Amino acid sequence: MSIRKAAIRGLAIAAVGSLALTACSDDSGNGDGGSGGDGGTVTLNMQWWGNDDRAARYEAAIDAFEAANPDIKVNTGFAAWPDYWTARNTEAAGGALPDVLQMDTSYLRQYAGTGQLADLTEYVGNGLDLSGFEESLVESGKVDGGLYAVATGTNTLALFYNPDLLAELGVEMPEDIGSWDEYTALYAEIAEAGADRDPAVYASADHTGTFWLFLQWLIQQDIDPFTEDGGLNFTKDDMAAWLETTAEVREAGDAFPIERVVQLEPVTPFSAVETATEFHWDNFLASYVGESGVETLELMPLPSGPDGAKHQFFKPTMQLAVGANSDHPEEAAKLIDFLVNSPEAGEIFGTNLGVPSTQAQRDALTLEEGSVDAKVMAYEAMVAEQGHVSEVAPLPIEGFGSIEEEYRTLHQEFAYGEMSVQDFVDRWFAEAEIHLGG
Amino acid sequence: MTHAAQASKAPEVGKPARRPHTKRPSRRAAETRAGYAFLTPWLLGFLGLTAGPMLASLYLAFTDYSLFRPPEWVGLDNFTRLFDDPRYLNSVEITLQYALIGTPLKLAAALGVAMLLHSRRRGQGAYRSFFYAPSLIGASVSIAIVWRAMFIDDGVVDRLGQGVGLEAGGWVGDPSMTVYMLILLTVWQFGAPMVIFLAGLKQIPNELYEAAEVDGAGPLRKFFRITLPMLSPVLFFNLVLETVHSFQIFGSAFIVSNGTGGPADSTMFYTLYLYFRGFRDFQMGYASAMAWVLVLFVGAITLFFFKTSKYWVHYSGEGR
Amino acid sequence: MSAATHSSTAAGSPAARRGDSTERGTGSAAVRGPAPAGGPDAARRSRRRARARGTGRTVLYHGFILAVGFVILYPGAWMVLSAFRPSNEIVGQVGLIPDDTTLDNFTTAFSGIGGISFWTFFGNSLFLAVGAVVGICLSSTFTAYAFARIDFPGKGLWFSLMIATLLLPFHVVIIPQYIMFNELGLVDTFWPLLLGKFLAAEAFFVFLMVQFMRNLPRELDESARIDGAGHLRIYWSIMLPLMRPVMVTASIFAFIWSWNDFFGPLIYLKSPENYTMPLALRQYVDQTTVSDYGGQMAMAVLALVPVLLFFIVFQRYIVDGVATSGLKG
Repeated sequence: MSIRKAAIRGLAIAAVGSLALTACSDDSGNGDGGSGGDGGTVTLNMQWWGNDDRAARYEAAIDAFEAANPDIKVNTGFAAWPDYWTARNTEAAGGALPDVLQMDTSYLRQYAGTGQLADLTEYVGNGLDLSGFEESLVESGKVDGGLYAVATGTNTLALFYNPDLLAELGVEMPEDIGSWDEYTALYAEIAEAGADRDPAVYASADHTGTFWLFLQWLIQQDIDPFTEDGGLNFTKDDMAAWLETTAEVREAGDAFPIERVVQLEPVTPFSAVETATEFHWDNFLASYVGESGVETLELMPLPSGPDGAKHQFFKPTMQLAVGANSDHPEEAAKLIDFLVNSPEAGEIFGTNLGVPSTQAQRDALTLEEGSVDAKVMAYEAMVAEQGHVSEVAPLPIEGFGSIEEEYRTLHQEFAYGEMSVQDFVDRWFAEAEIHLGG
Repeated sequence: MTHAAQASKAPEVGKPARRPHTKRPSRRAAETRAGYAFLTPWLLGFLGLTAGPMLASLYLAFTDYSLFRPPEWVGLDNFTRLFDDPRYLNSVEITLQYALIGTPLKLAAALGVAMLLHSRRRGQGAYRSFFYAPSLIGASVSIAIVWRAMFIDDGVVDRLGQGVGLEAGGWVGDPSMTVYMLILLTVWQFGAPMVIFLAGLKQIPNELYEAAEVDGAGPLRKFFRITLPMLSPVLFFNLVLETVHSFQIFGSAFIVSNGTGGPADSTMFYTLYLYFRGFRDFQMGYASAMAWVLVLFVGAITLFFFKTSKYWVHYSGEGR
Repeated sequence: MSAATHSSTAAGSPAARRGDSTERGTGSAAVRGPAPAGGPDAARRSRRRARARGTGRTVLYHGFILAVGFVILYPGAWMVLSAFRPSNEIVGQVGLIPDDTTLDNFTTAFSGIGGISFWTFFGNSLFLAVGAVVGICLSSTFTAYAFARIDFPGKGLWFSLMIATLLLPFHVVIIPQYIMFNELGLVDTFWPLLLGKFLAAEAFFVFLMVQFMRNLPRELDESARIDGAGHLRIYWSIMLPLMRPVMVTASIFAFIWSWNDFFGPLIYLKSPENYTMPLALRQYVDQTTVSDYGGQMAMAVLALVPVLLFFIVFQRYIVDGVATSGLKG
């Protein structure tokens, strides 16, 4: 008994003591880091979304930054996409965003519009060098005239495919895919060829589940997805028509089964080498290669629209922003400057954050023949040269992130066959109204 | 309320007899002061962390509040929206399904095993502890992860199914099975109610059974005539507690679905949906309305149990 | 509000009645271990009966118990053994005997996540759990003393309100609480997770203590009062020492519940260096893009080690605590 008593007493003392300690450290860490100038060091907090691979790159880049700026220390953290936004939302609510945070166009308006982000205009040319940026890329970070985010790079949609797997199946990938119907026809062909394998191989999971692809398709039909004032510019019929493009695939059971998609998460079927193709942003090549272990993955432009053109667009892959509540916006801008301009950071990140925004960083990439970075760079150069990229990215309206998430969730239920196209469309529009109307 | 009455009665009975009457008024004031002094921490917590927030969320339930902008009064909009929201209705449906299937199964398993253990004394203590263990770890993230891994495509459960000719595939990916997967997880934790049942069984006087045996009662009759009525207060307690708890399932569903409530919203239980609306979409008003509906519902269920309890719960004191 | 009050008054009663009906249990079982309820007589009788019914039933009994035991044990055993298997050989391994063992998974687990050491998470969890134990033991005995030993106006009302919070779904308070802690700048600190513990916000523990304290003989504090002791002295030097058994039970549960808590840390802890074990574990599953089942299982096992240790050491206290108070695991 006495041992236990002593132990409890000891624990109590320890606990009270350490509670006092955290209280102190919280004060100095959070309260006013401004006075952190005591020791001459400023501590920045930085958050991003991504996986281990990206984390390792950020760590390396930040080590380099700290080496170059011994008076700035950077604490970092990261999460996967949905968790990341839940966490940022809760922080934004209390005006407690990190000093530097990874931002996405789909959330930019919501955050900038509600005053959560710092206007970086005053730092441009004054610690934050944007001279190497294309004008349109700088523009993408502006909301109502203020500069709230800096793009890390650009990306565009692509069709990824696995040449080795296709060869094994005896299916030939067309040089160019002239229409969405032509692509859809691949579902049946590959499903048949891959049926005997264990696990069976398919062309892809139903690609109509990707919201961005729907927007891309709308643009090909000459419809701007959103209006200037932040509303929807397409109809229920448009969305229904898009979903109907793969109706036959679903009926025939030629799409990769949703049951399996769910179980493979967070890895996609393409990464698991259970589908031969997948649409995604071109900067995903690195993670595809890393996850699948297949070095020979390739990427090609999207199927063409009705007029035979691709109508693709470049979009900022992701952006970096500064929380409005930051005590050290100047140092934060400095960190952003380092991440987007320094050749060192460019070399560390490769195309992980998109094809870098600045020539200086693009030049710093070590482009070995056939390497991931080389393929992505070549792809973007090609789609630009061939005129496949001819549009501007859809307006990043406020609430975009939420309606995209609703689309993804609903489509999952839809893929299980528990919902008709009409139900899907009705429900999505009802949700969109709530997210965009408020 | 009886307990409260008892609580305040007991000291009154004892004290006046021993204390001189003249001292009483000042003594009373001192007692009151001491009482509230001792109660202060709890009172602070109650007012600041429970009662205050409850009122605040009641107010928020009638507003549109995103945390980014000040709350805006919308009247009953949030509540009417609830009943038009297919995802909300789905969450109610699967939560009820989980509670109404899971709780009886769990209690049946608990009672069955408790009776089995009760029938022999030897080794009972060890078995009791052993069977209780899942209740202690069942709510942890670790076990939820294990559960997911066991019920995935080609996982342990799928393999065992294949062994007996079932080609069911993984439960994790099948929206019609995920609820059952979580029901199995809660049934697996039957140990806690079992331990309570065992304690209840011990309280049943052996003479009752002996008398029944003399009357020639079989095991079935003994169960329905003696065990069940005598155990009904314990059963009642377990039923209320387990039902109310099962409405609040969160962690295991969150982990098993990889933090999505999927597939196809099949694990989007009530509290998960509330969490997503409140803390991901920041529809704090809407989430508050959901929370209050839950409170009212739990209140109604508990009330229902209590109102009906007099027909089937047998308290030995009152019964005889 | 009225419905909530109803629910809660209602909610209180079963527990209260149960507590009353098993007070005998609190005295005997909880404190002194297993008192054979039926007495030696009953044991002899049941033995005789068993012999009479023959060995068939004994075999059936043990067979059944073993079957149940196997089902109980399997997931845990599978988890532990999987932690020692190579990552790609885990899913679908039905058997429990590893043919190929490795410690790699533990190396991975101990290496931490995103540059943050495993021990940071472990330390955070430990700190919170110990804090919860200290807070709950102090605040709930303190509060219980007021309810069980002091007579003052309004006590009945407060007690009912306290009982009312027993079954209250905490989701109804979580949003305003969050807003409040956010305003105070306490999000991403341990305060929101500990404050309630120090303010006796968990009614179950208060209730447990009140039940126990009511069974302590009143003569003790009466005589102390005659000797001139005040309430604080009586609480500290008479009640607290006597309440050791129930405090041990409460401590164990406070520790384990805090250790396993997922929702609170999920909402309040933002930066990875503040993560607790369950959050880190979830983060690990989320971040390992190539499903590293081995690492997951190893971390899952490590996250449960303290709980299992507690269980092995204190199982009697734990199970008796459940039996007498209806505590949940």
